[in-house]
Amino acid sequence: MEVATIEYCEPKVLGHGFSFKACEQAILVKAYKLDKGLFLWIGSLSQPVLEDLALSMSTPYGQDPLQTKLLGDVLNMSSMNLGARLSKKLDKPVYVSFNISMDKLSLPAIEAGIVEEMKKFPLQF
Amino acid sequence: MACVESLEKLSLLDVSEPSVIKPFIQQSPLKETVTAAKIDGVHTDIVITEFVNRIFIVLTQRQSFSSLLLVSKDGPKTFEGKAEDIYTVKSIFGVDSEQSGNLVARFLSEHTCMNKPALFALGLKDHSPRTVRALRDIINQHKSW
Repeated sequence: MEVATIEYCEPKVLGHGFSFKACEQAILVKAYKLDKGLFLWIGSLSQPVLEDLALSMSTPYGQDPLQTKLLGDVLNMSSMNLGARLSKKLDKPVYVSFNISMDKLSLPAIEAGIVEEMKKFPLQF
Repeated sequence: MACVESLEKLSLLDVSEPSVIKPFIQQSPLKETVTAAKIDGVHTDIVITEFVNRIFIVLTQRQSFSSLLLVSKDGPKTFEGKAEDIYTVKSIFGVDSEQSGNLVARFLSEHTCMNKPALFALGLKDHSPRTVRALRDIINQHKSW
C-alpha cells in the first residue's frame, strides 16, 4: 500500500479560542481562520456541541451577503444573521455554528463579546 | 434619588454594554489539533476538533472549503450477531456529483475508527489513494478518540 510522503510544517490555518460570561452563561468561541474563509463556532462551555451551521458570503450581485443554513434548525436564524454581518465586515465567506439556546437578552451580549475579541485580535479573524 | 436608582437598574438591563461581558478564563473542554503537512509536496492544513456530539475535521490544500460532508455510522444487529457497520455520507455543501470527496470522508471515517458522527470540511486538490492514506496516518497520529 503506497503512502504519500508526509513532512510536517507550519499550519496556515490560524486557530483561536476564547471564553467569556454573557448574562451568566459561560460561552466558548473557536475561530479557524483560512485565507479564503472563516469558521466560527460558538457554544456553551459546559456542553460543547456542533449541531448548527450556516454559510454567509458577499457577492458582487447585491449589497447583502448570501446566506444558507447547512445544519440544524432552519428557524433558528442566529448563525445566519451573525454570519452575514461578519462576512460583510471581513469580506470573505464565513461559516458560523451557533450552538446556544439563547433569549433576547443574551444574543446581543454574545455578539458584543465576539466583536470585542475581534477588536483585540484582528489578525485571528 | 429614585431617579438615580432607576437609571442604575436600566443600565443593568442594557446588555450591549461591554461591562456585562466578563472574560472567563477556563480551560477549553474541546480536544483540538491544528497542524499542517506537505503531502507529496502539497501543503495540507489539518484541523481536528472533537465536540460532544460530533467530530469536526478540516482537510484543505486550497485555504478554503470546497465541500462539507456529514458522515454517520450505524451498527446493524442481525440474528447472528452484529453485522458490518454501515456508513452514510451526506453532502451538505459543495458539488454533490463529485464522488471523490464522499469516498475520502467514508474511507477516513472507517480507518480512523471514529466513535461519533463526523463533519468533514474538505478542500483537497489531490484525491489519490496515496494522499488519502497519508491523511489517515496523520489523523490517527493526532486523534483524541
